[in-house]
Amino acid sequence: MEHRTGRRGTVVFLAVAVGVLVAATALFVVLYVQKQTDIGKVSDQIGTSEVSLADRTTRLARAKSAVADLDTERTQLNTTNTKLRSCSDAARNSVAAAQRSDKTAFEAAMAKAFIHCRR
Amino acid sequence: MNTLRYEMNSNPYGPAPAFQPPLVPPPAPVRNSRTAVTTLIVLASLLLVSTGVFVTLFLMASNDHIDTVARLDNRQQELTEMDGRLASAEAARKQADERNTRLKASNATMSSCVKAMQHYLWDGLADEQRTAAARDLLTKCR
Repeated sequence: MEHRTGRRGTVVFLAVAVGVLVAATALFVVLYVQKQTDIGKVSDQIGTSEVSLADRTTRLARAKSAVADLDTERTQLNTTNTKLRSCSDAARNSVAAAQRSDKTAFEAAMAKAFIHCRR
Repeated sequence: MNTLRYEMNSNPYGPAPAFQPPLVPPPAPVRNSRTAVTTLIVLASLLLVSTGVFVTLFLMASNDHIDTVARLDNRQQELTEMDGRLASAEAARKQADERNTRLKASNATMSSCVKAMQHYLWDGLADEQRTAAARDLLTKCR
């Protein structure tokens, strides 16, 4: 009789253990699947970020090369500007002197114009 | 004599009875409960293993998740930094563009005056043409 009660206790204990283990397995399966889903989402976000990053890198390179081109152009424009300014300043001074009827200033300005306004 | 010998050789106890196993009642309930215990032990062992497997998988996935989130943070930080650099590069481009436009405009203005002056000086103009050129100079080199 006592022997039988002990065996029943073992069966009950084992049944409870099986139940607990089924629950634990199910819990960890769910947790694992959830984690994997989360990882998938984060990976997608990483992909999007990397695409944006590549786009920004291209745009940055384009902007930098545009700035370099504009700088080269500016150097040329400055050279032209300096050349034009020396002639234009002399021409303006001569016009201003002629309007003031200042012969000395006009002659000085025209002398400069002869030097700076060569073709 | 002969008959006696014959009788001596024969079994004095008569023919042996056929073997009969002792009548023991089958221990049915005990065997059933033993089978149940064995099944449960096997089941519990399998479940223990599967729980272990999934706990391990979950922990590995957790670590992966942490790594992935760190990578995402890294990318986002790079993106923010890149946005700043891009904005400053665009601003520099705009500024350079404006400066060049201003220079071009100023060059165009001066160029018309310079051309007028060059025409006045070097084209060997006669009286009327010279007066016209001087007037042109007055308007363009003011």
